[in-house]
Amino acid sequence: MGGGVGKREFDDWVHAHTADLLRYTKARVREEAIAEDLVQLAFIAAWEGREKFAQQSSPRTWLFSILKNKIADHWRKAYRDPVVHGLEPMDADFFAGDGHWAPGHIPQEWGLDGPDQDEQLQRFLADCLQQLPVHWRAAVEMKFLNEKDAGAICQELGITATNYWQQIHRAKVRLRECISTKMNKNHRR
Amino acid sequence: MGLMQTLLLSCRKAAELTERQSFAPLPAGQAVQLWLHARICAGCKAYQQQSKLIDSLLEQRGDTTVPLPTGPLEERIIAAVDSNK
Repeated sequence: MGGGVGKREFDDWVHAHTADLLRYTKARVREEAIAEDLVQLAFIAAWEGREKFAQQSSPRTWLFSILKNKIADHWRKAYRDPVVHGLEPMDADFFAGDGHWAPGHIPQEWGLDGPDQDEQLQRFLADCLQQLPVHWRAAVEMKFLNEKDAGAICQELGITATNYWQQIHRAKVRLRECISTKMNKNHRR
Repeated sequence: MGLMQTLLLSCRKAAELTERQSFAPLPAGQAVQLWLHARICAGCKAYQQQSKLIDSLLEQRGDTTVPLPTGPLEERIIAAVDSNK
């Protein structure tokens, strides 16, 4: 039996999966409007490529895979925007000259109680991601889309593997401290 | 590997290697240095734990089933696909 799907069945997919696809995307881009556009682009691409849909796979898996490519496209463009690279802010000195953690920046255990705090941590993470310089955020987002390996990502961004994981490193150091600061503020109440 | 060589791994380097390790296995010597450094440096031990936690939080984003009012978006999508036939 050949691949493909009819319009009515496709419309059912739109109703069945839009919310999940949107939820996934909203968490991974800066604005809700962008998220909606990307979900729409994914469905259009799915419809245009519907002959390729194999009956054995699940529509959900197939749609998510197309969506992840659209999100990766979005971040690749953001990364390569030359304006964006000029906007790197003055960075706090997380490390002292000798390479030790600088005073005031030394990571300390968070003393988490369990999964109940995940929701709060996700909120903190979302805020902290919004504060990252765009090209660092792009590097992080592309890593966690997991659709391609690091080598392919580096080629698409036009950077070396070393540059790539160094940017992820700087982003993570910043994210960690941002989350830590929010947790401390929370505990003081 | 001696204690001195272990101590020569700076915290900055340890944090960089922690990240690099998430891309590909480190050369054996570096992997051991990193592991030993985290055993004697409380800050870097905390950093590694938190870095891992952030990785799993990043993976799990959008996993909740908070209801979203996507009716209008669904109609827009169906209309856009319609005009694409």
